[in-house]
Amino acid sequence: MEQVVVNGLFSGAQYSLIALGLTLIFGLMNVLNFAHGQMYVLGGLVTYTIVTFGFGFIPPDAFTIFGIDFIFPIALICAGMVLAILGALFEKLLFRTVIRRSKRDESTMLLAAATAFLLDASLLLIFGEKLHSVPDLVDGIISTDLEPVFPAIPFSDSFNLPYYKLLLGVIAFVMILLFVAGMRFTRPGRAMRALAQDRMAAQLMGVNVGRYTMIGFAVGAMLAGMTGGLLLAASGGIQATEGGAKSILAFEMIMLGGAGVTGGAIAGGFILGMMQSVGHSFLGNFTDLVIFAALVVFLSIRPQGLMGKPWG
Amino acid sequence: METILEVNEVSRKFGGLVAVNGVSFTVKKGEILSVIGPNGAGKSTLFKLISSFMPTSSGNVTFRKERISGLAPHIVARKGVVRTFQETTIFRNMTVRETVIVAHHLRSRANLVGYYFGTHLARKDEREFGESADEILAFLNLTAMAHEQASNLPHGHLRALGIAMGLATNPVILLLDEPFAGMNHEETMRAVEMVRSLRDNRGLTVLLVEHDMPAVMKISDRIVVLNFGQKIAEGTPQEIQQNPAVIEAYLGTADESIGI
Amino acid sequence: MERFPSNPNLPSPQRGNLSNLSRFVQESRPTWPWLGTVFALILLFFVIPDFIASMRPEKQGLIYYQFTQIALLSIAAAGVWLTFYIGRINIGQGALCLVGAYVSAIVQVKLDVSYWLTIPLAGIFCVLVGIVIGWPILRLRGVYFAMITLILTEVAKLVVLNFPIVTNGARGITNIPLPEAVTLFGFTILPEFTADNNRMYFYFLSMFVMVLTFIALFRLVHSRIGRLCKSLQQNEELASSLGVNLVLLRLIPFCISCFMGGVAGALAAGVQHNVGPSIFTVQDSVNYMLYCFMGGLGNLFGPLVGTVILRMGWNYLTAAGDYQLLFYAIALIILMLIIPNGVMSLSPVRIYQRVVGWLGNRRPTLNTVPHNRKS
Repeated sequence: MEQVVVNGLFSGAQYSLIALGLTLIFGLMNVLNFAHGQMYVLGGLVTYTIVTFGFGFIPPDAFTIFGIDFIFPIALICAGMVLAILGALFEKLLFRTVIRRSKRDESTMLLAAATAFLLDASLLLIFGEKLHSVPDLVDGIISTDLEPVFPAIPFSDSFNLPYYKLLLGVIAFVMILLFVAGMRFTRPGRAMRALAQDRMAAQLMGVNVGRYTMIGFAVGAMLAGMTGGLLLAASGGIQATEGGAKSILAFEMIMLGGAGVTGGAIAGGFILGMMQSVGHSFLGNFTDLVIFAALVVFLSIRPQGLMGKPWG
Repeated sequence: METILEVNEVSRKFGGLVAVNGVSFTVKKGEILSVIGPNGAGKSTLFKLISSFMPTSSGNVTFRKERISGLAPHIVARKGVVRTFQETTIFRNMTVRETVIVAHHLRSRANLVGYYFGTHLARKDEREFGESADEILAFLNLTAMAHEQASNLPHGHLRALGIAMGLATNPVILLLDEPFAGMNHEETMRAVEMVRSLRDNRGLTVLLVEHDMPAVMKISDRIVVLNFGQKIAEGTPQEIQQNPAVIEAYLGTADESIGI
Repeated sequence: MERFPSNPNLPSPQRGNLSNLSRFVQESRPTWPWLGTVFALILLFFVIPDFIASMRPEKQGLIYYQFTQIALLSIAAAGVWLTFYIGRINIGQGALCLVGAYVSAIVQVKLDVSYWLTIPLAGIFCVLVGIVIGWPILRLRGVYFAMITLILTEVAKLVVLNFPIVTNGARGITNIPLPEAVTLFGFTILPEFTADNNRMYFYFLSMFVMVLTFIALFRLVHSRIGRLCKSLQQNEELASSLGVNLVLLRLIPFCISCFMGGVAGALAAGVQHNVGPSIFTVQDSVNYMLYCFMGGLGNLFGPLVGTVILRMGWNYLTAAGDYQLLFYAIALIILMLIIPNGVMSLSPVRIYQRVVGWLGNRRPTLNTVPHNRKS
């Protein structure tokens, strides 16, 4: 059982990060970013490329300081930057134009789907279908091979937690905290929250809507990209084709928590991570079906999700 | 006169906040009754409770001795209790005439399958709806706007469109949500005349929620005053104007003119 | 659209070109749907087959197949459009297609039922699925509905994979027989489909179903139900205050949409002779939505136009090999930037004018100078 809880927390943290980016974009622009999973995959593959091939002109051991290889965090930051630029470009060149010119809000959905196809196609062309993975970041494992940790609890058993997973989990938690703090305490963060709540009012209060929408899209994409990098290291590899499935997961999370709400995305991510983890140990293949059924029942009782505004 | 709508000890809580607290009153057939009160007195909530757009926390509303609170809004409408919305709630991409024809839904005798295949009854229905819609539009002076998109209508006409939709359902009692809000004096007086003629010519019972005092004083047979979710007074306009509790409620909370 | 002849005694309000014209089209409505249908039938059943017959024989099968696909996809897309008509964006049509295809295949292979019966059967089964799923999820609106329907396709695939006893799991059902002939009193009503002619016969079958679908949809949209649906699309609360039963009126179009999905799926199962869990994927579901949007959501024939344009484009792009999806995506994005409201939104004045002009009508010309539209 401990293993299940640990797995659940671990994937919950990663999922929350994906959902945060999606919910940020949704909250700011009312755009359902279909390409979110693809952005995540792109982030993972950029990280993979840098970790595996370096930057070409710099010798591969240049990032080793005190015997620790810093190539992975550097790659992660690079992935975040690439995605942020991509997100900003998408917003500025594509979404803004379509939002201005189309009669219906929903047209952005079409555009988002098209960008998802675009990213899917490019990723497949560049990276092929094979699984890309990086070596473990650090060796070692926390393990209680022999005895259950809490023998009094039913289902208690031993668990294994490799150090690299622990490290990645911590990074994910720190990123979530940073994001929440950034939204709460920095000026752009406050501006974006104001935008998400009431676009018109924010504009009247002098918030530069265009600029902060672009920043928001960039930050959302960046989160997706960095999460891709994290999960690449955590989960044994990433395939260029798995973007769509990841988008769907992210949608489940933000529906559960409530679209457009930061807390909802985090809650949705952790709940889904935990449900999957528990489900896989009890239900096996039927987990996703059961989760979907539960989601439908839950949403029919509470259509706005856990923390969403009604029809946010 | 026969009592047709009865509001019994209706309350509604939002978390810890009591928006409407044990309000009771009755509406008699053929009268115009207004519910007034300062901002935040719970008028809108009460309105939603009566039209069953929001469930009551306790108490109930009966229409002709039949409990209507807790029923789905369309069933309440079917029984003859029809509400109008404020002006922004319209079918934006429909023409005025189309809107009014759609609003005849409750009068339809054919079923949906009949409408699909255009049976004799269905065609007869549609013909009658068209005629009735034209008549209603003429009654409300909307004929000139009949083929205009609803979203293009000016302010006052939108209000009339809302009432036209209400009339098309052939209601027994019409609930009007702030029918005079945002109108100038002249427009208000015209609207007052219109609501009066609804009652006089069509035998409708009207319950309206409003804060425009002069209009309310002019139009109402009786008035119910709310403050902080509670009923503080009930009576004819003259009685209300002299009621010290009402005067205090208004003068004590806002510098709004009571129109005495 | 207006159904009633307007009263000539009423004072005529001031109207612009467009509403004058659309009113004109509305008034002449009794003739043009029939003419349109006849025109479509002639085009689909004589002109196009005749054109294909003039091609090289080895190429004919492929062309028939591509047209068949367009017909099937536009049936499914019409369903998506209908759910949009009640204000819901449905990205789950692929799930219903998958269900329809599997129902048809399973009933044929395991219960040995004639293919012809399985088509309506698949539709009816999908309606039942639609009731079970639609009843809870139709309460959701906007993006929430879009997201949950998007998940639906993935869920349908999981169902197929997780119940291999019925569905054969990942291997799918590969031995679907070709439809046999149906005779009544010695007359052959439906011919036997053979390896040689099945491409052509499936073309006729699916085109027939497609025409039927759009006639049914046209009738629906122009009946009172259509108007009620439109009122739901605009404002559900207001509609319910007028006595419209929201639950029922959301469910009916959704179920019809599911029926269309099921029928399209069953037809696809016949056309392809085999079904597997990935014959309809999330990408297909998204594509249906794209067809509707690209064609234009404001018009009933939007999904048809969108399907023809995008699917033909996709077929032409096969020449690009591996770069097919990339070019397709780029083309989509460009189209989106140029015509964000869909093809049918492009100058309706001109399109109406053309249609009216072609079909010959009471008033021969309309002196409306087409606007030089920016887009």
